Amino acid sequence: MSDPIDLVFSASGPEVIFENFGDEMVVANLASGFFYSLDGSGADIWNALVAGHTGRQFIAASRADAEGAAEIARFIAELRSEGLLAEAAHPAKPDPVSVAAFARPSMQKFDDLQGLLLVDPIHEASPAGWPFVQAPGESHG
Amino acid sequence: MIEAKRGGAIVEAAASDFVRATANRPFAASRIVEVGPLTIAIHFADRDLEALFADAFYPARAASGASWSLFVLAAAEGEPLPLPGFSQDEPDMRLVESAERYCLWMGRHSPSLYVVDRPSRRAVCWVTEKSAVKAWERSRPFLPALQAMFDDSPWLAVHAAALALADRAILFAGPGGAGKTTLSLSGLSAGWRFIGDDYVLVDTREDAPAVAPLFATARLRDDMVARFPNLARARTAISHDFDERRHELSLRGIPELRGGAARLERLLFVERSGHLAPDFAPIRRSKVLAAMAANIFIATPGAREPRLRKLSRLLTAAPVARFDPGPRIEDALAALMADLR
Repeated sequence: MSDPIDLVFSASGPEVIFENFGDEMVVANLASGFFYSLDGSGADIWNALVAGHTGRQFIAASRADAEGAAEIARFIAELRSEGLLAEAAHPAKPDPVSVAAFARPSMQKFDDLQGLLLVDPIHEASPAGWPFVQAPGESHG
Repeated sequence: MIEAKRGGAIVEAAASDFVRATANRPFAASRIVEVGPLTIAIHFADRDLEALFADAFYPARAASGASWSLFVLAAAEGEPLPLPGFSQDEPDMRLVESAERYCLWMGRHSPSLYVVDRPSRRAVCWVTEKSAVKAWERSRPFLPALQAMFDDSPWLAVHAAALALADRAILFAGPGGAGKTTLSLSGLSAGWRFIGDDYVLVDTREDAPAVAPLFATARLRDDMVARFPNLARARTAISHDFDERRHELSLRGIPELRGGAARLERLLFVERSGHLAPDFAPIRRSKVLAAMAANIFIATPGAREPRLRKLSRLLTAAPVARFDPGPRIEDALAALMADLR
């Protein structure tokens, strides 16, 4: 099994959207209702990963020491466990990774929407085409 | 998947037929109203419906033709919902949406059906029981349908109050009870331009963020009435939703109180934190985004991703801060005025 920092990722689906506010990166998972604010080098890591770079490429570019590398690996694992990243089939991008000075990455999680989405209507829109009725047994998006 | 797509297509075809048939039936009354950048011709099937909803909107100022038509009708007793798969017995909301159409059954929270047909720029609000329409719905009628009408534009309906000085506006977001209504109506009484106290429209273009009135309504709690004697003439009813006595106001007949669109200078997240004087503080945009998105998604279901992107654009375009008004509203307004200068 590959080391997770050698994997290539993408945002896990169209329900995961992200916005860079300059001083803050926000990632929203519309399926779960959670919003995340990425701090420290979190925004740079996210940008690098969704641009097709690996964690190892980021570690090299950021010149993080062994402790920093462990923080980056932990942060990537956290992004995966929150369902924000999915493994991509394509190879890593070879171009250089753009990073600012390394700062311990972390995330803050907002759950304002989480309870509300439980009373969401049966949502029959699909990225595959407008609109569709959910087949029995499929989970709601 | 093929069957599933066919199911959606059946609803869409029925929705299109329903809107066309509704537009061809007689209506008892019509109003041409202004909702942000849209001029909407609202046609009411009977005078009761007109009385329920018409005062919530500002009349159109321009004599030019309406850009949308909205037909409002009530179901006959026992009449089934006109869309396949939609049932009055369905307690939960049900949504079918596409680039062309938006069909929403609000469920037990607010038993109304909204159908928006974008190609024809027509929409229908089908009320199942006029007597069951709550006061809060009368103060902001057809909100999901109006939001859907704006989906192909940069405008977005948000749960916020807004005031303006000259053509510079402040948007007040934040949880219920934080003081948005008190701030906005106090501003109105102090000579500010009132844009809204509950839901307003925002233009989310990054180079020109703006805020505009959505409804001509405001709602006062009993304990706030004495503070605003100048608004007594705007009162249309006293309501008792959720055992809370409220004074329902309509500003549509008071032209001097009508505030138009204004450039958005500041987005303030109103949150009381015990300060003894008005206080501005930094706030994470993520917190504001999550709080405002939550309300948009629940009050106006559908099109989550594009609406969230519009909201994100707004938060990029306008400076954002946390605002504790403090205990004295006069001081809060003075601080806001100084902040705008």
